[in-house]
Amino acid sequence: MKPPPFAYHRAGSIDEAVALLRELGDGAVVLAGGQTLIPLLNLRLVRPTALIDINRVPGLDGIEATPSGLTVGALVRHRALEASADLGPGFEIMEQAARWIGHPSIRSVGTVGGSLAYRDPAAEWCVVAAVLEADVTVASEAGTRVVGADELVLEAQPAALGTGDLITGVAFRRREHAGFDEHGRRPGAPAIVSAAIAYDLIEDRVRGPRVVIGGSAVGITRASEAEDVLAGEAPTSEVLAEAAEAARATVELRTSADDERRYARLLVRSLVASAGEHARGGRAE
Amino acid sequence: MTAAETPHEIRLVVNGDELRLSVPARLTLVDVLRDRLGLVGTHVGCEQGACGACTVLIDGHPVRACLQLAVQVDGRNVETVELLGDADEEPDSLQEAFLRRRAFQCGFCTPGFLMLGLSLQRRSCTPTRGEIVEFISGNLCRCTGYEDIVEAIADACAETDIAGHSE
Repeated sequence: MKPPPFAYHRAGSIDEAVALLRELGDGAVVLAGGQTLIPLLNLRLVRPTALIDINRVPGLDGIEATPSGLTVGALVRHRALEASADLGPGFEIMEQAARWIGHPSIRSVGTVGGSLAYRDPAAEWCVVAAVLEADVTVASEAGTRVVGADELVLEAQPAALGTGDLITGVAFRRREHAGFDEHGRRPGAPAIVSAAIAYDLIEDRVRGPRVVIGGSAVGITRASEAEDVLAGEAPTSEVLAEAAEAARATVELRTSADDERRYARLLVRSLVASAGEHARGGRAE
Repeated sequence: MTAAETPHEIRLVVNGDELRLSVPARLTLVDVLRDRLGLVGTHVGCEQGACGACTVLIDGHPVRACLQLAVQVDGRNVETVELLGDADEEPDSLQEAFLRRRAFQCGFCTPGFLMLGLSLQRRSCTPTRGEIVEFISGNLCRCTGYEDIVEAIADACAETDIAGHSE
């Protein structure tokens, strides 16, 4: 199948891109890596009137370690985040997440900005952004603003981005310990359940824990009961298991069939525990 | 002519040749390669990004050519399976390994796996078998059961001389 006809515009700057977005309105979509959009076009599941190609907008492909974290431009390709050694300390979670994104060919051209914009519950960067309390920079003709990751990706939130908005970058917060794991039908398939944990340690006790669950069976949600189990405790395997059980018992599921729900809950427990092991620096069994 | 039919002028380097083309925006890279340039080695399997038969290298990185618009890759360096040697007369190390290991049957998926093999061969470190398996896991083969493909790529990567690929 071939894409339906559309007008094609190439933006040379952020200003040009947001002007085009406002001018062209609801029928226009942004083209970055195209790894979500082009399959939809090929299947004619979407019929945009116009594409705005932002691949040549300068300044959107930087990766910068800052005192507080890691700033990643919207056009950074997934493959650039696959080797955590390149990202400086505290961001092993990026490699743990990136290896699950599609396949190498997808990761060559797919972008972080695209992943956040589509807000797919199985998207790895959405879960990582939520667990690391990322600040997402959004440009429009009205100016630039920052949208918190919780507001952008959590299931319970209404859509934070409008027609004229363009994600330009994301700043991930550095935590002392952060880990990610997921399970899908097979490698490269969308996550049925994913889990991420992040925290700091003060005198060997967990401070400021965040536990985020994602995946097609769940949506993206914070597991606050699991966070409560971890807070103030030493992150031992037993405590992690207790947090995992709390997540299993309380997470709200999207799936309705009984056996799917049981399976999804077991995945939640298993993956919260293994994400916790990754965060500790250990290896999940 | 509507805005949607406006042709766009693009420049592509394909297997070392610099080309200028005029293409509609909705034409995918794989269709440009096959229909405009006659490079039919790159195959169309699913057009959804599921099978990998259309795998090419863009600026050295493996990419599904069915998931790139030609206008999107304007100015980029594209390499296709035609870059490899002539399998009948002078097969290069990858093709020889595929022949020796019987790593193809119908051949439909083969160009995609060859391009992934080429990508691995170019790495400075010889990949482990596990790394090969993970790297090629995004490409589908309905004939071979994959073992011979993995062995062939492992053989080709084990060879240290990659001079033939710089042409």
